[in-house]
Amino acid sequence: MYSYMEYLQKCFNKTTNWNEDNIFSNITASSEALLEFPIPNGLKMEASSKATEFSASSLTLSNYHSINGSLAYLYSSVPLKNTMGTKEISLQDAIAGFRILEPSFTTSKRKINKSFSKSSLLYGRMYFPGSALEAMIIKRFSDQTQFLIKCISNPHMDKSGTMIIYFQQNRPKYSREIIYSTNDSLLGIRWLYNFGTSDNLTSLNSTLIPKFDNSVISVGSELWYAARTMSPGFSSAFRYSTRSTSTGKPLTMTLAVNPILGHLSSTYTVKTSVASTFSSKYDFNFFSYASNLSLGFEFYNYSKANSSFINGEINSSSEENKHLRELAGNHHIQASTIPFRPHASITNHDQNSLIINPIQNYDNYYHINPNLLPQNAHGSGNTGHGESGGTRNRTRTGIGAGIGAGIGAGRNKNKKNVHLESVTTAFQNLVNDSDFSSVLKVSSSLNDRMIKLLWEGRVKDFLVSTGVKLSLNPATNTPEFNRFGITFSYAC
Amino acid sequence: MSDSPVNKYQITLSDESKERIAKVLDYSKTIAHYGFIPFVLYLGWSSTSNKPSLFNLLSPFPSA
Repeated sequence: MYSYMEYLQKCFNKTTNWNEDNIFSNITASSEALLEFPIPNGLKMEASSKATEFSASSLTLSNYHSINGSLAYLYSSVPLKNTMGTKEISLQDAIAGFRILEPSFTTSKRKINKSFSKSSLLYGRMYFPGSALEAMIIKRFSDQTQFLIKCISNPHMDKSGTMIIYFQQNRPKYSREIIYSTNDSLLGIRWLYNFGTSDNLTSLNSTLIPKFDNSVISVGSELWYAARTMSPGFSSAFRYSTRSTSTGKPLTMTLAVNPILGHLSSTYTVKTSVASTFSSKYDFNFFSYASNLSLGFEFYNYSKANSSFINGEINSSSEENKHLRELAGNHHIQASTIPFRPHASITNHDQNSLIINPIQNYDNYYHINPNLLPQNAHGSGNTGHGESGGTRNRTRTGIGAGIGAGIGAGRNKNKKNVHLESVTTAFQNLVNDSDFSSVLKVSSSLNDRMIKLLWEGRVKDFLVSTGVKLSLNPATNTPEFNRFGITFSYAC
Repeated sequence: MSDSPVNKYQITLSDESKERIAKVLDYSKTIAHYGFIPFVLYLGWSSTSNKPSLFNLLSPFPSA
């Protein structure tokens, strides 16, 4: 679960069109969210509020070892209008999970009606007892370049703190960073390059560009040099993210190599359904031949059908759903078998709302969601070709016919693209719009012989996160608790 | 003539001024440490049109 300040920083990045997924350090973010999620330790409470649109404050108290806490303040030069409190925030935004990657030209095609070239964000957190300060400054120079300064200052330590400075350039085609840390005078360069995208696509009419299958290939590497100890560091990574053509389900695979340490790590993460994600990671060291296999999954629970959406309120702050907030009052919302906040294209056809998934098993037959067929594709402007005419509307089709529809549509490239686009966007909208009440995350590692369980969800107006880490003691072979804790957070 | 450029531009500091610089650096560090959060608060206060009260700005709890 993100802390409120982390959430606000994400909102700031989203508002100012800063693509976090395009930064090298986030290349394995999806699998990390499923495998290396943190388990809270002890009891922790967080209360946050947004005093104005430009500033927010947060107080945390925890009883780990002794009672300690922190007080944090944040300032953003951009008004943070679309942020939500813990009462109405959608869990997809509040919890780190699978990140659906989009080719940069689809994300940058949104009309940027305002330039955020001079925006800045300042954040300070003071811990007590001890009055250690954690500070962060983001200063944007243009829409695509920024300075990021992070600093920890502790007056009670000999070397009274450390500072790390990033100069980041984040373009649709590539991103690069120059990093300096006062700790060991560490110098670093990181870059990430996206294949198949181009900088100047933003100037073209993006609807003219075929979207292929929404896949993104990224290659990046980092180079470090510690000037004080004269030690170098290097690692390189590859990421491939795509969507299933028939169901629109996204998957991401990564391969990271560190030739100096001889470490090789490959991950495969797939969103198996709207409410579940599975991830696996295989680590291998070609110097020591040590290996490790980690598995993890997350499973979301839908909230009860009487969600606040029925009352005309939408629990979502996703950029894509902004228009839904406006539409909510105008549309009649039909109660469905599972609670979800229907996308506009689906709510337009109330009679079709029984078929929610792109292809769904319903009364023992697989049905294609009629809204996804080319002739009904929302906003496509194309009429479907003869084969997939109106007769397929709610007619029984086997799974073979379902695939056949996809292939049939493939005869016409444009129509196929429309079909693929509608399936992938339909799945994505379902993921974004679903109203979840809680998530269960489980991760296990064979070599470390441990299992981590984490439950996060909404209880009343609070977001609660509780988890446990169990491992087998290598000496005595008895299971033991490593970590156990619960976090309550409230924000408004 | 034999002076190398390095020696030419080297600044020689007395122990006293070295001490003074160290002191100034020390003070500025303390000011930055304790002044950063008030600075963040001031920026938040100054950019809002209806200037909120100090209590509203400081309190992490929702104001009624």
